[in-house]
Amino acid sequence: MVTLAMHMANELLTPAVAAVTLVAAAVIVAVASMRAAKMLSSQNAPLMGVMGAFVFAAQMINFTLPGMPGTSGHLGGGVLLAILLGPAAGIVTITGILIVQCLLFQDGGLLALGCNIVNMGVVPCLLGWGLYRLLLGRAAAPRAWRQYLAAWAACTVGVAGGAALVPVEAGVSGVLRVPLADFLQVMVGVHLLIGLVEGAITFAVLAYLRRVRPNAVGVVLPVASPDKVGAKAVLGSLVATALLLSGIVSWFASTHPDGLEWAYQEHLAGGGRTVVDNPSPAVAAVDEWQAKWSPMSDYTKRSAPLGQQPGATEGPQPDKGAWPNVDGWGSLAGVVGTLITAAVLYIPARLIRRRHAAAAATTAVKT
Amino acid sequence: MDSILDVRDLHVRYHDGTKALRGVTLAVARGERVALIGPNGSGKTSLLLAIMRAVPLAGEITVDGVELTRATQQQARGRCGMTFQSPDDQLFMPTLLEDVAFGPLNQRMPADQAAAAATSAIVAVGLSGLEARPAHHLSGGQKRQAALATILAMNVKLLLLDEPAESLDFRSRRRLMDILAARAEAMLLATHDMDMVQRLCGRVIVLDEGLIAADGPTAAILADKALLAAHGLA
Amino acid sequence: MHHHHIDRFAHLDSPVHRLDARGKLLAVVAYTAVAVSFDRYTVSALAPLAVGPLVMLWAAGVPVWFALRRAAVLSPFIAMLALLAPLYDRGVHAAAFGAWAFHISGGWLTAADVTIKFTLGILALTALICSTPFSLMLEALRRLRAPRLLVMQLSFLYRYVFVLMDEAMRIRRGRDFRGAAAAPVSRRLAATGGVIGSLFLRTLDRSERIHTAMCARGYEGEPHSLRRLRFRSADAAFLAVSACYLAACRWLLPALLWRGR
Repeated sequence: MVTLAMHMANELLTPAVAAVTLVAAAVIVAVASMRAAKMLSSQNAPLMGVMGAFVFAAQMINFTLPGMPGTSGHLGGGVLLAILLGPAAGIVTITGILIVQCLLFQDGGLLALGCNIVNMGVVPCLLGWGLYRLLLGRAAAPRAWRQYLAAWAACTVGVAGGAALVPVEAGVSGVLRVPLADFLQVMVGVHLLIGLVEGAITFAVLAYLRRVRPNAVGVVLPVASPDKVGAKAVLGSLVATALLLSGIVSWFASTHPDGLEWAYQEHLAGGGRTVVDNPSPAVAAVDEWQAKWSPMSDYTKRSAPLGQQPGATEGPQPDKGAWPNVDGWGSLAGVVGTLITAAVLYIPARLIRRRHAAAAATTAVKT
Repeated sequence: MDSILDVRDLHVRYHDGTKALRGVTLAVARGERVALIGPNGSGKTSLLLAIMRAVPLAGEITVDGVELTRATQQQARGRCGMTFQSPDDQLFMPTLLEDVAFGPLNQRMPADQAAAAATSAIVAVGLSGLEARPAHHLSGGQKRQAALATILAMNVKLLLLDEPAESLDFRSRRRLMDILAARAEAMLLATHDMDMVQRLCGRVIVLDEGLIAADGPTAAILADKALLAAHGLA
Repeated sequence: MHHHHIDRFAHLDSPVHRLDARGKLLAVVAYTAVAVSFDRYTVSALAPLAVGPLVMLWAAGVPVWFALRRAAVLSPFIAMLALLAPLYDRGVHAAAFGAWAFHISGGWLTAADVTIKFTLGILALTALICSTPFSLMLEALRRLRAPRLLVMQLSFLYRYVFVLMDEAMRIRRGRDFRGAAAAPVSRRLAATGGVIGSLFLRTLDRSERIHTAMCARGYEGEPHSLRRLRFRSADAAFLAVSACYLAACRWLLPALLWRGR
């Protein structure tokens, strides 16, 4: 039985880059340890270790994605920990987890530990937590759906941000045989989706904690009004964020086919057989189902309406420009896209905050 | 006065307002074994935790002649050893030997001496050979024995045992009882197991809703069916 | 549960098991660095590197099938590098295997190179883990001056990961057996959030209880530990042999046997 190792492996790096990242990660973790020890009172020596075990256990709780039978998502944990315990504790906890995963579960390389700690610990915790606090504002008792939206955005950006560093680290090592822009695009694209799912689970956890133990999420609830989140509000934010993000992803996706697609085309053009020859009827059925129902195949408009099989002309588009696209514009686009995503979420949050402040002011005046 | 434990007018009130103990007075002599029985929620665990000064309390507690205050709590804790209801909460080191040596090491024993004390405690509870085992490789009964070893290694004078044989099968329970019967330390034993009470303890205290309802010799208390029934024990 | 297979061979006894954990850890780190330091077109020069972990595994009494099964790890990144390299890198290299000389594209060399290095790394880690109980590994880290907080954290993580995974498994079964799969999205999401949220709260409470138990046994903030690692002459010999072996693999043998590659 083959097990899956999702973290970075040694071979994506040169010893020099590995050494630098290990040192950088060590410094960051040392600083985070000191801050975490100060923030959580000394009475919880076991806390971060046991929380690490909690993350392992929480990753076993899967959530079957709507409309996609057979796929399920689960929690990465970095951003949730940062929201609940603070970014310093989050970084230290994730570091412990990564070390155990590397040593005991063969997940991630020894030399790649530094990079993995940065990509999956430092970036999600700092970036995710930062965005969360930014979107939350200064209210002592933030409104529930505002908290959920902030957590959702934080997860998406945090996870994708960390993932974006993988191609950069591999690129700096000079190991990549794939163009950086394409690798970056694939990593960020996939992890935006992963971050979305993780964000959904994270806000579900926050919803539960708000009801059961509000002070665990830093919320001081006024005694009179129990804050219940209607299903409509949740659904509304779900749809809005999903639309925004998928729209933006489509703007910035390269018009060039990604590496795998290109390889496939080239192979066929060169007269080779199909790379993968899978006679299984189940696979064919899934392919057909996907072709019929994926709303935006290849991040472009569908040529046939939903529910119908697209015509034979549908499929990977021929490249529309010079290839390989080695210049920095591709990577710039990836970064700009992420920033714009964050900004787009931030602006409505600011507007809402202003409106809330105004409402609070008028309420204060009235009482 | 030869008591190892002296409790006077103990009140325990938790942060959420629950009053677990509402004025408890008792004394335990050196080497004496006292059973603490009562329905769930009567305050048995809170009493034991109070003696370790692990809960907010008011009243006087004297352990081995030392009055229990914030300044003296470390000293007092060195005289008592407590085992908890869930062994998984108190076996927290990677191996059994390290777990049992944890207490002695905190008592500033040098490493070699601590290891020796741990080894002899492990032998005393019948787990020799398992020193290198991690706790998750031990059975339920073995974990209970291990938890006992962790406090025996500390050379304490008073054992505070909270449901030491809960959810154990008959054989494991007998084994634990035999180990306890062979000890000379004083014991305050919170339990539901009347068989264990009869075999081990000469005195029984009945606790109900934070107050002592009865305190007397085992035979007399356990024979008093009306008393037991009144406090949900029979 | 099924997690005892992780520790299965770590508690045996063999000359490898008796080696100081610090030496083994340093040797494995150095080994990994040496393996990665070969450029992406060297494949045959990696062969001598396979000897080290295999010898260690054999001496530690670990069956071959167990080691190979643990080495059957699929990393998407490695798979990507291995699958795409032949397509992107068409430069032709001359290669030789003994007396058999042939031409091969750079991409295939890279694919083989990356896969072999990855497997070697996993084998080395497996050799380390199967011959060293995790508690000794922790002491090695502590004696090698890793931050105390980090080592304590790893200790608790290791101890409680199985407890919490069992708990999560039970809760998940409870959720699944009550028909969670058929529920609408919002309820499924709420159930998932509730499971994880309640696990979090139980973990918080458990951590408090552990802390109480620690304080009850005299803990005042300073962790003390037993010293069970003793660096002996056998360990010095092991380190010396490893250093020579790695140096030979990296420089001596390639110069002698694969001149010009």
